[in-house]
Amino acid sequence: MVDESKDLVLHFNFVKYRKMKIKIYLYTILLLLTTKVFADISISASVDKNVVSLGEQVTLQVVVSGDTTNIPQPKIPQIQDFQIYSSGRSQSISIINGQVSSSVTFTYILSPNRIGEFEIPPITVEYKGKIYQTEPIKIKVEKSVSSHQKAVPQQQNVYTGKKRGVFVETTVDKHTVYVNEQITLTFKFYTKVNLLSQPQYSPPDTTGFITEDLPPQRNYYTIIDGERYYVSEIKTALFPTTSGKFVIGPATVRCTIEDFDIDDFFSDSFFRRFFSQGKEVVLKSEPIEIKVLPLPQPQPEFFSGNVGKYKIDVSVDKQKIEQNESTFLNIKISGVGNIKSLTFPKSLIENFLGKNFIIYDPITSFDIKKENYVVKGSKTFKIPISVSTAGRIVIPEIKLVYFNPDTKQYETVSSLPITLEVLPSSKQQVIQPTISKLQPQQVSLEDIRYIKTFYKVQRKINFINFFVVLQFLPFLCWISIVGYKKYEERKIKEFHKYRSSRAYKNAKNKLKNIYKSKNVVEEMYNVVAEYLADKMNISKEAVTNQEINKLFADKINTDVYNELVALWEKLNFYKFAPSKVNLSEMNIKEEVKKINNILQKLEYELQKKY
Amino acid sequence: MNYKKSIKFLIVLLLVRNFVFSEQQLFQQGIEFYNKADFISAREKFLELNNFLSKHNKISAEVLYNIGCCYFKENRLGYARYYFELAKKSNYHDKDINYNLQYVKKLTNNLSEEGFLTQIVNLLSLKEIFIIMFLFNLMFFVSLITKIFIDLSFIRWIKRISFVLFICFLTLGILKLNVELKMTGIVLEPINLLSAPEENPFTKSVAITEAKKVVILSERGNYYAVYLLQDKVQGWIRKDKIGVL
Repeated sequence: MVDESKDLVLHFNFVKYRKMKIKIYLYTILLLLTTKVFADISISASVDKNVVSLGEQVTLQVVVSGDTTNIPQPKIPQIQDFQIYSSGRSQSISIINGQVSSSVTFTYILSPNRIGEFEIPPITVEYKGKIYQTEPIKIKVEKSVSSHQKAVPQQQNVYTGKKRGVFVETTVDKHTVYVNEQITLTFKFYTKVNLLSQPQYSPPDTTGFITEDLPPQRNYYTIIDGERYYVSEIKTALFPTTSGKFVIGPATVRCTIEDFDIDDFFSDSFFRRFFSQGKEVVLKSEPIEIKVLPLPQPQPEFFSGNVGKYKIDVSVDKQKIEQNESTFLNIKISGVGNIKSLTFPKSLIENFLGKNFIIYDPITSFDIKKENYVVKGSKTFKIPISVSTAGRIVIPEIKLVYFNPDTKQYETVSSLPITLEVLPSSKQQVIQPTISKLQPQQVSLEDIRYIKTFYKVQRKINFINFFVVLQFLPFLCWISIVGYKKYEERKIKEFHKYRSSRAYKNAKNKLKNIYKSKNVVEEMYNVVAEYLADKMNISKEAVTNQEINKLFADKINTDVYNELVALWEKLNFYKFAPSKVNLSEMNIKEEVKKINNILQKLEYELQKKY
Repeated sequence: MNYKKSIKFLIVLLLVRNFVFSEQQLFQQGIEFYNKADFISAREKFLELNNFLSKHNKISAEVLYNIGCCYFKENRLGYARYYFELAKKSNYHDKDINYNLQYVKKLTNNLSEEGFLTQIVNLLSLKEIFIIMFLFNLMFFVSLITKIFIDLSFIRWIKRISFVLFICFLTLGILKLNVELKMTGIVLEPINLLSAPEENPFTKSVAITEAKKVVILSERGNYYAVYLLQDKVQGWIRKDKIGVL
């Protein structure tokens, strides 16, 4: 028996120990998990087709997403029998309430070398020491379709001429330009037939040029060979980046048109147009060759590659500053040309200003206008500067040298000199010792303030509802107090009514507790006397038969009145001749019930009356 | 039993320490990178910490402010302003946050995007307006209650003044609530403001600079319909170029 109980205890301890062990494991797993709660990423890969002909291309898209802006580049493994080209990347970042999540799509073009079944091995990406990978993808490469078979459908749908009532055309305003000079490319879409779908425009390949859209699109009618065409015109500004010969590729428009021969009016096909679903056609423009000339040599001093026609304005935010106090030097270059790529290197500014000034990195902003399809506007370089010595310091004239393609010459424009009044410093410069060693640029009083070296965390709480409810609290308190006060006042003012209204309730309560009393008989008298006194608004001692008669005789039912008088006389007898009452024979419960009934009837009668 | 409890306590302590330690470590690493002028790495650390806090429904004005500072040093003023604005939402009267925010607005010529009334409304945070409003509300009703028992002339004055001030702050609160409930955002990078929610050659566009504050009116696909407060124009902007406040 003892052994059995010992075993049982041991078994219990063992179960307890196992439960505890499981808990410890769970906590440990949780502990390990918490170290990985920070940024995490995912990777997936897909191809546009799994079966491909030899000579065709497969587009491979690798999507890497995570809650970081620094998405790492995936490692593309060596894929035998395929040639791989990178076709760029596109990134999408979403930031809501400061929380960043980003996704980068890397696109690759795969071109098969031979027929067969192949597998793209898992593509990996390494992030914070951890390797993420995709599933392998199978691709089947089949025999290529013969060039004849392929060409036939293309010839049916691709047009470059003016047949079928729709055609496209691209033109440029200049065929020979200098580097960074604007070329206006005009694309025109002519149509004299009804289009059955929204045309889809693919812009031409403009490798070697910086492009800038030139809105708005123009729509108008024109007459060509006696035919009226509707024209949609799109203009684009192109800025060549280097010298040499370049080709602007064909622009294409895909659209669905009515499928009939406009020349053959009486042919069956004309009448068929009412039942036709239309025909999709691809319209292509001719490629255009552009010759880009290099800028003339030798290039003058201070030339930084700007091409166009410009003027320069220089200003300062404050002309009166203190020593080491910074102000902004604003260099505004405005005119016609590639505004976005205008440059004014810091070294040039340093060269102009000299050693009197401390110059920080400029901040740039631009304002572009495209009136009359010419790119113009202004670019402003805001440069924080400060002076370490007091006195009158002159900002000398600042020169801008640019190449004007109209005159084919280098031209120079200059700003006016500006005088700065530098006062001796009135305050101690605030320098944080740890920062000054590492970052001398940070000490300026006009720079942004230093980062916080401590941080507090708070919960995101929506307090609006709470505060709205809180506003009603004082009002509710006031209403309650005013209500109570009014009630008290009414009680004093109409005491008789109050006494009368409470009479039956008081009597009923007292009758309930009558058994606790030492002298039940006397207590019964008191209850009824008090009830009648409250009803008549007199003292308890003043209740007599005469008073009862005076108040109740005419107001209540005769039976009830008689019962009341009988009760009152009986209770008087109990009160004033207690020795003649045999308590042991008396049924107290029955008596109390009788009193309660009479009072109830009386109450009912009085309420009926009033 | 005590043994079990102490192990549990130890594990919970270890968990808490692990969280706090990791957060602190990220913050310190961010500061170190910033001091070494490696603003991109510093920003990454602060962003990581901010994402972690967001996941736990927490926020830190200081972390947001530091992210803004890193972006500023990278000359990405749109992002800088966005994070300073977020920091201001959490700590309305912080001098550093307000200074840097004004500085970025000045640099990007966005100082006059708020009207006079909005400037008045923006002097106090919504929470502060509600608290002051509650105090005057309380004062008014306390004076009313006191008047029931003792009718003194100075209580009558308190009642009148507190009522007027309560009404003033109530109006201010409604105006502020109207401002706060509007969905706003910051243009993160220079981008084209489009006439329609798609970018094709048939869409008209205007180039706009970064760090502009916009009111988000509606959304369609990958675009927000926005109203530019500074320029007072309307158009469509790609969603990923807007930081929603």
